[in-house]
Amino acid sequence: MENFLMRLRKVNVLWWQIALVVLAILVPLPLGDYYRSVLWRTGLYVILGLSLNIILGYAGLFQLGHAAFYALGAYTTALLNLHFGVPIFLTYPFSILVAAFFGYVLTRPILHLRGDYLCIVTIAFGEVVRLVLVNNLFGITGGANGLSGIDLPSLFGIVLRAPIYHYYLMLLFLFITIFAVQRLQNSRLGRAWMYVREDEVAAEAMGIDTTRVKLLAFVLGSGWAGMAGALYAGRITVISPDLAKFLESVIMFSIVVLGGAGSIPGVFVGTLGMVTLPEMSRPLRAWRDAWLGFAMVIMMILRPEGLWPSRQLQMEIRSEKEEALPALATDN
Amino acid sequence: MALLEIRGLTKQFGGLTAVNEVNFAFDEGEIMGLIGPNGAGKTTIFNMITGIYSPTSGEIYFQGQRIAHPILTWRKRLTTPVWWLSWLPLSALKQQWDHVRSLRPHEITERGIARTFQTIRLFNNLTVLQNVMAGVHHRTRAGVLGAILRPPAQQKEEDYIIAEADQRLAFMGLAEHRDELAKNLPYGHQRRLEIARALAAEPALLVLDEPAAGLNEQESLELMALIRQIRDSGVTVLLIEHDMKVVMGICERIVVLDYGKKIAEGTPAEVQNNPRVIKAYLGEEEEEVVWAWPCWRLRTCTPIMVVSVP
Repeated sequence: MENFLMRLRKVNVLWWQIALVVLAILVPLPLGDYYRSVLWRTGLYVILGLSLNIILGYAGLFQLGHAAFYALGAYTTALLNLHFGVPIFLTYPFSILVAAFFGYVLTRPILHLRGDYLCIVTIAFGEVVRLVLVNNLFGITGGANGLSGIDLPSLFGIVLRAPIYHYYLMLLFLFITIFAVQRLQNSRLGRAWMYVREDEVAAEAMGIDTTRVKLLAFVLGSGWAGMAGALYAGRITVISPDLAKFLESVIMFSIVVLGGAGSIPGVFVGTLGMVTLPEMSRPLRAWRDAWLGFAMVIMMILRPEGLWPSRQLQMEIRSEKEEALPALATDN
Repeated sequence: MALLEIRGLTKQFGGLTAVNEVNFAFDEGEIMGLIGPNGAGKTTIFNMITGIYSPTSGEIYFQGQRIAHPILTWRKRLTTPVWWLSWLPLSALKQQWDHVRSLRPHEITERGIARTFQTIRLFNNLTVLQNVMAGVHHRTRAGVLGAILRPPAQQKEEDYIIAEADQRLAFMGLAEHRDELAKNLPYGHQRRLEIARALAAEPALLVLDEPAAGLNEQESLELMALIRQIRDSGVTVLLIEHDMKVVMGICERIVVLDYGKKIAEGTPAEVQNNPRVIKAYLGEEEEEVVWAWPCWRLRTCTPIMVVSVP
């Protein structure tokens, strides 16, 4: 009987996944263009959240400048398209490579920093990238106005203009992202990230090249954010340095932390709270910053591990809390 | 050729000389002990062997290759031609560069030295099996693409990692705790898990930092038997220990440190009767030793200050 239930459960997981995929494909059909755009934006931020999740959730490295790599991806697509006339789809690999390259160059010197120090330096890097874009580096980034007139992507001669096309394009990349991230999590590399997150000294003593492993997390996460940036540039066709705003980084950070670091469903929940809800109702949007702060405070008190945490991190965070209690008791 | 050779090893932390001109060497297949009162510099030597610290001066050779080298100052780096070219992917240059620098901890583990820690440092929220799998990491190669595409070779490697880890768990008698969280294990099992994790790295030299600390008599005896078994399987063991029963029971040779200096070396019997060792542990006659703790067993002796009586 129990065996049967277990089997049912296993089957159920697969059916759940299929049902979710079908739902994701069907959901925009009855909706209007506005809601299709909202869905597109949600999916884009899920991709961004998952890319940050590699850095923040798996490897446990604070990254508060993630939007910089998103912007770098978008600018690469825009520049290649505007100056060299490269079709949008062909610019995607370059966007990924450029963002990953900058992820490497910017984080290599600061990898030995830990926790809050790393956090501060990444904020600074995010701002540096934004200011470079605003100040019109080499006269190609268009200054504060950004770049406009980027082509829409076209496939077999059909220009993808309607939001529904972009939704399905995004969905394709989202599925690839989820697939890749899930496999990374359950691999030798994913375990190495867990070891580094748990105890860096012990990990290094066990023969894990912590520098390389952390660098890989940064490079992968940055490259993936660059891909999201390329998707954005191809959809909106107008980009500005606002993409690298600190608030964007904070939103991505909150998506991962509020949803539950290290958890894929958590990123979905976080995106719903941080992006979709404020987008759908105008009053909420005006209050987004306040709502962000409020949600952060409430969450840190009630559910520090996030709304839909990975089991691993839930244990880590909960156990820290439990350890704190007896110490308090002995003080009295 | 000695398996591990330490030559003129010195480590200074600011004005404090933690380790001072220490020399010793030992061969394959030995169980070597490193003892001394608290603060004698034992753990500092361990940290230099495993690459966590670089020595201030002196060198460490492992299997004839230099693994620790005095810290390179920036001035030294800039005037060393190899440093300028060390980023080039040329194996000849890499070898030259390896000869000039200290190896990093993970590189030393790859060469065959695995360690445990004085305060247990397990991956607390991972399962026992996952902890041991960490040791197999450096012997496997799967990268990003392997993880995402999962070709058969990578699947095989994953099975190999699990099989290796299971084998070490069985060896250390932890097989039935395989899927428990490391932090939920009793203390004695955690100590053994740390050794299992180090063994999974397939070291030639196993470095144990106070493996019997906090164990009861029975557990200590079991541990001694296990350490002998590890030696018999072809792994040389170097250990720090305060429990004299364990040290005298299993070590074949002992090095005694005091205030960072080597004061004696020899078999347990020689060391026990060495007047300098007795002095280091019990103080000189004309000195009065103020103990931090009732000194009814040697392992709990902690002199907090030594007052000279005129």
